[in-house]
Order: sequence, then structure tokens, then C-alpha cells
Amino acid sequence: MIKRDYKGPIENSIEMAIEKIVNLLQYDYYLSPRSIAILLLQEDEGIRNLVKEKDAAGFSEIEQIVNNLKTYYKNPISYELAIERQNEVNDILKKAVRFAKDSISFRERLSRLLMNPVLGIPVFLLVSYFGLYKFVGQFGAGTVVDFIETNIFDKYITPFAENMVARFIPWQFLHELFIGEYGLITMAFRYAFAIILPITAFFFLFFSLIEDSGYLPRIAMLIDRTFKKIGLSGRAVIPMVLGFGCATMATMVTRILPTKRERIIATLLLALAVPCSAQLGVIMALLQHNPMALFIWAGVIGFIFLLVGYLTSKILPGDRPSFYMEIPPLRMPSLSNVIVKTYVRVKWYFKEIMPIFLWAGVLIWLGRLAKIFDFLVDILKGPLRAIGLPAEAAKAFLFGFFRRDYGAAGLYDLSAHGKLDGVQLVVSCVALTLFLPCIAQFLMNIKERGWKIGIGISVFVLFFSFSVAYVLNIVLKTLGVIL
Amino acid sequence: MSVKKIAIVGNPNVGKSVLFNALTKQYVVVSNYPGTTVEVSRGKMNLDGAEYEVIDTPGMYSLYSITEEERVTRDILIKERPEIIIHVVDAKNLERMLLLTLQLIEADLEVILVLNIMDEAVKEGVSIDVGLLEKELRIPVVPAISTAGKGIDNLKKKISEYDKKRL
Amino acid sequence: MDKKIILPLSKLDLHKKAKVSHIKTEDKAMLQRIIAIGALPNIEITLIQRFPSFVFQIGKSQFAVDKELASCIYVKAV
Repeated sequence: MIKRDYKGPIENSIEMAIEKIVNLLQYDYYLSPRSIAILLLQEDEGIRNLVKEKDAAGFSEIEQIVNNLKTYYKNPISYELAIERQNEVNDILKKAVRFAKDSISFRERLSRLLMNPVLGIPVFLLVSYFGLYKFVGQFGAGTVVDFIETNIFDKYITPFAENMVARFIPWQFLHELFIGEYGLITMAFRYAFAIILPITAFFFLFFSLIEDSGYLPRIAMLIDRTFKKIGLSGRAVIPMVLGFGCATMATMVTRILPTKRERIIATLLLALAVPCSAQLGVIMALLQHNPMALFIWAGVIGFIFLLVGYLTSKILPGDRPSFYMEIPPLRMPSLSNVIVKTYVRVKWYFKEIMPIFLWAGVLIWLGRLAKIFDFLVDILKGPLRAIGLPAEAAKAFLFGFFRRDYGAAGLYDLSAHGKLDGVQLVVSCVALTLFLPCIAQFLMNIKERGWKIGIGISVFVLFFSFSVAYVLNIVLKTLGVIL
Repeated sequence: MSVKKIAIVGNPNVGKSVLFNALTKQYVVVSNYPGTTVEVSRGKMNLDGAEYEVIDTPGMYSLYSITEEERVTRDILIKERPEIIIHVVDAKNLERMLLLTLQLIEADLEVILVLNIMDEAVKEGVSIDVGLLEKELRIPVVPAISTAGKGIDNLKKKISEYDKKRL
Repeated sequence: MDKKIILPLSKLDLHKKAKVSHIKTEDKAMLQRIIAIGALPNIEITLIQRFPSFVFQIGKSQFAVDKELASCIYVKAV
């Protein structure tokens, strides 16, 4: 097929080595023997293992050829081969392709403006505000969720399920598995379809739009330098932005990060300091009439995000992340493609998340049956008193972990009854944000990172969130801050 | 008779998924490749009475793999032995993209080269002599704008031709 | 400054046409990334931006990379 002339002593040229290896290969790899030989010369791990298994007889001889050849080349073989291939490509293109003179198009000008930090960062903030806060948060997580909950679930599904369960299941303790405050149908299914489904659908729609327009890599390049300080690369902007939609989903998306180290750091930060849209909604509602409190809350969370990221990147072993990303031209997204993409993603997400919700439902049922809930509420009272909150907040915190609307309602009630002053409000919001957002994320951490790291992260988050709240309470009290 | 497999390969960001969606339209299954966290989409396509399984593979730059995505794509090539490989490239970046084409040809795979995003290439002043490129590479070359559905019919024609040639 | 001088891409003037002279790195994964990008010897390359990340153009493609990667690509001005 494509033969090349290589430099170097003839008997040790790459071409000779390829021929020798080809003669030693017996197994049909589907890729041509020549291709396999070239991959072996580049010391490709996967192919090496495959050949070791399938062509065990000739393997040691092959290794010898590879090692011998290496000594004759200053550069890695893959580099030499790439240069050869590039020359070949250039020869072909010289004949078949013409390039017109370069000119800088309007699109290119726009692209450069978006990558310029002076303009790019404000644009990014605007896109986040309108896309995430207004579109996904207020419209998707607010208006649409309310509509589905009140007009579909409360009116039809819940009464129907209650009716069916009452009719066909005679045992009272089993009723609670399906219906009631924490039932599989009235909570797990409802949570999944009435809350998570619309939020993720709107989020993925927004996400597919900024992805297909080519905007995402431009955010990544703007943020890389900052993210490097916390052990992540610009690429991590994707799960981090997703985290503001749903941290559980974002934890799943940390898969796109190239190293295990980056995945652990991102998972930790998502669990700790990235509030999901549900949490953001609650916090905005609680703090909206108190701009100073909102400012302190945002400052503390931002600071913790950077601090924990920085310290983790210092402690965790492994290489610094490397950043490289192609910057595609800005494009007008095709609507049909965005819709197909959103649909496929929502479907995929649901397949992954549904079992987790059902498991959470079963766990809660068991927990309540065994009176573990009351026990946990009692345990929580101590730490909450320590951070200056009334004991009543314990129920709100624990329930918030299982049902965000209950957690929110709990704090609203306390706040509305005047049981929380400004400082307590800020402290409780900080604790609530840093605390694991929900049981689904807890389970996702274990699923994605394994038992040891998953539980480790959760335990750390639990203690750390209360410690920060504790310190914040003392600082605000000592400074005599009145909010 | 077993269903023939077609693998769509190429760099990230060249419109593989759009092309995949245009070819398969429905019956799409997205799943993690066994033992990995990498997603692979599969769909069915009917063409002149023959049924194909089309696989949308994760982005790859080279057969020599460094990322998990590249390993998965290469595993698909080796283990699933697709009859036809559709290599999708960004037409305005042939300089960078044809390196993989050469590797695929070198691997003796049945390659169809799709020069995607032709509209942008034209806008950028890149003009490609498709016939000459076919002659140089000795494989079918199809210009396309997958987002606008252009070139899809031509690609389907080349796929059937490939199949007939092999019978 | 001498026009023929070979310098890392990170030090190249903005918008100045240059050609890749060679790649210098001990890190195999880094080398592979650079090959994937296509920053191979004799390829024309232009630096477009250096802050907050390095952005350069090869052919009709643009890439954003960090300083470590930009320092591995050596170029000569043309």
C-alpha cells in the first residue's frame, strides 16, 4: 500500500522493522499487519497487550525489534511517523486543494472578541444569567415544574396511585413504600418526572445550544488559567456549568475529564461548593430581600470552592492537568440537531438516574420504618445548635437531603415565623449549600468514584460544611454583623 | 445473514453525530462501551433492502490511542470488524485530518471519506478537487454538509456501490 | 531580533507567521497531543492570543492550549 522511504541505516530503518514484524504476526487483527506493526513500533499499550495475547510465540522477538529500532532514533517513533505522514498528506493536498488568500471574516472577529477576557468574561456572565438562571432556573425549574406538579401529579397521578395502593395492598407498612410523603410513586417517580425531567430537559437544551454554536471551548479557554489553580483544566468547565443545573448529572459527566485525579477533584467540588438549580432556587428565595446576606453567601461559597480546590490539588498525587482544546468556528446551531441531541441526552440520563431514585426511595422507606430518621434528626440538632441555628432546623436539613421542597419549606417556615435572624439565615444557607445537595448525588458519587472515594467525599463534605458554618457564625457574631 | 456494520470515525467536532443522525434517523441506542465510561451510539439503516448497523464512534485523532475514547474506537474496529468505515473530516482542515485517513487506508479498511462542513470550507476559500483526491487516495470521497442534509444521498450510493463491489 | 531564531511558540509575537521547527518534550502523552493537533515540523502556525490561554492557528483550525503545551512547540519566524 503506502510505502515510504525512511532515513537511517537501512537494516535498522522503520520500513525494515515493519517488514520484520509483519512476518511475525499470525493472528488476523482485522487491521492490516502493517498497521499493527506500526502501532507496535509506536509502543501503543493496547495493541501491545493484544499482540502479546494473540501472537504469544513471536512476541519477544517483536519486542526486541521495537527496542532495537528505538536506539537508532533520537525522537519517538510516533513523531517520526507523524512527520512522514504529514509530508505525504501535504503532497496530496498540493495537487488536489487550493487555498484562497486569508482574510479575517466577521465571524472570526466575533470569535476573537469572545476569547478576549475583557469582553469575553462579561459575555459569559450574561449567557449564564439568561441561559442558566432565567431559562433553566426560573422558567424550567420554576414555571414548568410547578405546572407539572400541580396540574398533573397532584390532580391525577397521586390520587390514582393512592387509590390503587389502598385497593390492592392490604399491609399498611407496605403502603408507605409506594405512597405518602416518601413513597416510590409519590416521591421517587414524582421527583424524577415532575422535577428532574423538566429541569434536565431545559438544561440539556441550553447546553446543546452553547455546545453546537461552538461557544463552549471559548469558555474553557477563558477559565483554564483559573481552573489550573484548583487542579482542573478548562475542560472541566463542562461538568461545572452542568453542576448548576443538576450536580448529580454533572458528577456523571466528569467522565469527560482525562485523568482520575481531575475526576476526583471535580466530584468533590460538585458535592461541596456547586449549588444545583434546586438549591439555588431555595437560597435565592430565602435571601432575595437581603442583598448583603446574598453577597456574603456568594463570597463564602466562592472562596470555599477555590480554597478546597487549591488544597486538594496540592494534596492529591498525580500530574498537573494539561489543557488543549480545538476552538471550532462559531456556528448557527441547527434546531433539529439540538432537539435530537437534547432528546438522546435526556433519555440516556434518565436511564442512569432512575434506578438511583428508586434505590433512594427504598432506603428512605427502610430508614423511616426503622425509626432511623428520628434518630438522625436528634443527631443533627447538636451540630446545628453549635452553628447557632435553632434545633427545629434539623428536620429541614435532613428532609432537604431527601426532598428539596421539604427542606426549603422547613427553612421558609422558620424564617417566616421570625425564628431566624439575618446571621442565622446566611449561616444556614452556607451550610445547606455546602452540604450534599441530595441523596441522588450521594449515590452517584459512590457509583462513579467507587465506595471508598464516594463515601470519603460525602463524609468530608458533611463535616466540612458544618465546620465552615460554625466558623462563619463566630466570625459574623464577633464582628457584630447585623443583617 | 448477519447485519453489516458501518463505523463512523473521525476527529471530535467534525459533525459525526449529525451524519449519524442523518443516516439512521431512528432506532438509536446509546450505551457505555463495556468496561468503560465512553458512550457509543448505534442505529439501524436500511439501504436497497439491506440492513446495516451504524456505529457512531467516539472522537479519535489517530489509530495510536492515548485517550479512552480512542481506545474504544480502535477496539470497535478490531473486535466488531465493520465492513465499511466512514471517515468524516472537516473539509477546510484536510491538512490535519488526512493523517488518520492514511492510517485507515494503511490498515486495509474499506474507507469512504466524507468531506463534511463543505459550506465553511467554501466560505474560507478552500477549493477541493474531489475527483483528484479520490484518485490520489484510491477511495470514494463524498463532499457533504450534514447539517443541511447535503451529500447524504451520495454517501448512501457509495455505500451500496461498495457492497456490490464486494459481492 | 534575529529573524531566523528558533523560539518556543509561547514567546512568538502575536499574528506573526511562523513555521514549526520541532517539538521538544519528554512526555509521551504531550507529544501525542501535539501530533493530534498537527503542529508538526514545517507546518505554518500563527499565535493569535496569549492570555488567558494560548490560542494559535494551524491551517484553518484554532486551538487553545496552556503554557506548558505552547512551550513544547518550537517555531521559526518566516
